[in-house]
Amino acid sequence: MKNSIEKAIFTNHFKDVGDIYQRIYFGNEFCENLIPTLGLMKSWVSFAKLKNKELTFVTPFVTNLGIEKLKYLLAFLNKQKSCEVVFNDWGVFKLIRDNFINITPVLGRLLSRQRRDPRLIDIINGRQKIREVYSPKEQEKFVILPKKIPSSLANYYRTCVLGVSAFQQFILSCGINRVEIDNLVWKMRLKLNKRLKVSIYVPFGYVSTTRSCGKLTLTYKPCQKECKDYFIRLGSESLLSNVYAIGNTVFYKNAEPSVGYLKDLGIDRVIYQPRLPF
Amino acid sequence: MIICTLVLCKNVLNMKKGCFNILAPFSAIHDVQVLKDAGVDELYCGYITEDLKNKWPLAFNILNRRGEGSSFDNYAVFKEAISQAYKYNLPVYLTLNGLYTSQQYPLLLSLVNNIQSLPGIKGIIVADIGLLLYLKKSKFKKEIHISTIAGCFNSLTADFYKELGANRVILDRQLTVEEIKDIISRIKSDIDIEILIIRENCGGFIDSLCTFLHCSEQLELNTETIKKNVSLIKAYDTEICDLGCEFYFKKLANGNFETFDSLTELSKPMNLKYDRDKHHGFGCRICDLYDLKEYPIKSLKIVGRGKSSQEISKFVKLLLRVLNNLKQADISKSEFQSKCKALFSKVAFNGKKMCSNFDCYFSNSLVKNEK
Repeated sequence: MKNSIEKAIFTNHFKDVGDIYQRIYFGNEFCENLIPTLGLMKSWVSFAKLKNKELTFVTPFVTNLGIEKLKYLLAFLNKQKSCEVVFNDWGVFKLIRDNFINITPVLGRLLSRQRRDPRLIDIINGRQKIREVYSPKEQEKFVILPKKIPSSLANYYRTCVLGVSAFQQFILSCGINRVEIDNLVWKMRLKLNKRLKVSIYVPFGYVSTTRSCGKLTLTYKPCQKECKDYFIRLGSESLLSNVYAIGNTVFYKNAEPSVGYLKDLGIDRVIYQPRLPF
Repeated sequence: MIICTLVLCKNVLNMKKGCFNILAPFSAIHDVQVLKDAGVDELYCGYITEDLKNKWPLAFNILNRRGEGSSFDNYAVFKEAISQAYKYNLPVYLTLNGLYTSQQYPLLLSLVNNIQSLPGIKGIIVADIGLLLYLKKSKFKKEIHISTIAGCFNSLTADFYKELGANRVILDRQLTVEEIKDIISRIKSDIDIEILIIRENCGGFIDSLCTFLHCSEQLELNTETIKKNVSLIKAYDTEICDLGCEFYFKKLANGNFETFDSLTELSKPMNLKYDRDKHHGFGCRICDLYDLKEYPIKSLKIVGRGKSSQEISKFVKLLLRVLNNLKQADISKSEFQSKCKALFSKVAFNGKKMCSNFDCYFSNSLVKNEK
C-alpha cells in the first residue's frame, strides 16, 4: 500500500519471525567474528523463501579478514533473485559495487553518523541541571551552573551528514537508494532527496563500539563470545536504566516512535530489534 | 631525519617507496620553532573562525576534534604560524575532521576558501565525505587526507577514498600490526598511508564509530566565589566528565549483569571490575615499527591536541631514537622492542613504571580473529 511503513525484524533467531513482518534482517553490524557461515546464510535464504519474506543481510565494519569472509557470502547472495545488503563500511560498499551487481546496497546506521549519546538530551533541550561537587583536595564546594548553548548546536544534533545535498547526490549516483538511521532520544529533523528511502531501527540505538570487547565485558581478555552469554545494564537511574553494554557495543533503548513522527521524517521502513542486536 | 625503506614484499612492489615522516600537532606560533628543532617533518593544527565557533562551540568537538583551546581562532596569528612553518619547509595540514550538516557548509567553505591561498598549508584532513566532495567540486588544489574519524579498517576502504580524490588515509588505531601490514599489501591505488604512533589513547572505543558526548571544555575555576569555600563554575556539561566515555565506563562495574533468556540478574561473572588504567592507557605502537619498517607508510602521527610543544617535542625525540634503532642492521625484534619499552617508560612515565598491553593502541593480546 502506498505510504505504508514496511515492518522488518532484525534477528538471528528463526523463532522471532512473526507474520506481521514483511522483511527479515539478519547478520551483525559490529563484529566481523559474528559474520555468519555460508551454511547459516543458506538457511536464512531458504527460510525467507518459505515464509514469503524479503531478506536483508546486515554486515559490519571489517578488516581485510572480514572482507574475505564476506566475499563468499555476497557471491552466494548475488546469485539469488534479489537481496539487499546493509553496508557499514565503505570498503564493503566498494566490494559490492565492483563485484556483485545483483545486490542492492543499503547505507547502514554506522555510516549515517548521527550523534547519539543519550546524555545530550538535557543539553539539547536546555535542561542541564545545576550540580554541586565537593573537592576534598581543595576543601571547596563547586556549584556548576549550565552554560547556555546556541540554537545552531541543538539543530546540529537533530540532523546528520545525510542531510547534505552533495552527499545525497553522491550516494544516489552510487546506486544507493536507502539509508538507515537510529531513533534518537531527542526530536530529529531529516530533509532528504525524495529518491532516498529511509529505515529506522527501534527500540535499540547504538552509542559506541570497540574492537576490544574485553574492555566492555570487563574481562580485559580477547573475545570469548561473552556477547552470547550476558549483557550489562548500566544503572538504575532513569537514563542509565536504558543503556546497555553487550559484547563490543553500547546501546540505548528508546520508546517506540509514533507513526506520525516516522511519516514526518519520511521513514518507510521500521526495523524492529526484539533483543539487543547480537 | 627520514628513514626511507625499500619495499621488499612482492605484493607491495608496485607501491611507492615508503618514508616515515614524523607528524606533530601545534597550536601556537612559537610551537613551530620548537617542533622544528625537535626534528618533525610535518605539522597539523586546527583553525576555526569566530563565526563558526559561536554557532558550534569548540567544546563539543563538532567543527574538528580538538576541543577548546587547541585550535587557532585568530586568522592573523594562524597565518603567521603557517608562514613560519613554510619558512622552515614544514608542510602543515589543517584539521577539519568534523561531521558537518548543511547549515555549517557556507561558513566552512568560506574558511576553506580563505586558507587556500596560504602556501604553507599543504592539505586538509577530513572525515566527512560531504566535505571531500565539496572540495573536489570546487577544484581544491591542495592535498586531502582522510582522518581516522572516517574509519579505515581495510584496503578497499583506502582505495575507495582514493577514488574520491584523497591523497592520504590515516588508518584506524584499533588495528593489529598484522592487519596494518595486510591492508598496505592489498591496497591497489597509490594512496599514502599514515598511522597514529604515540600519545593519547581513547578509553576503548573506535574513533570513527563513537558517538559519545566528548565535551572538551576549558573550565574557568573560581570564576566567582559565592561564599567562603563555595565557587561557581559555568559549564556546558554539568557532569563535568572530560572523557565522554568514562562516564559510562564508571557505571559498567556497578551495572546489572543479565542473561538473554530470563533477564534475571546474575552474580557478577568471574568477579569482574572496572580498572581505569586498562581503559585509559597512554597510547602507543612504537614496538610495531619493527614489523612495519619494510612497509611504505608515509607518516607517523603524534597525537596530542592542545599539548605544549615542549611536551610534544619529548615524543618527537623519542621517535627519532626509535627510528635510529630501527636503522641498525643487526638489531633483533626483541632487542628493538625492549629498547622501545625502556624509552617509552622514561619519556611517558619518567621511568617510574613500564608499559603494559593496555598502553598499546591495539594489542594482539586483546583481539582474537577467527580464521
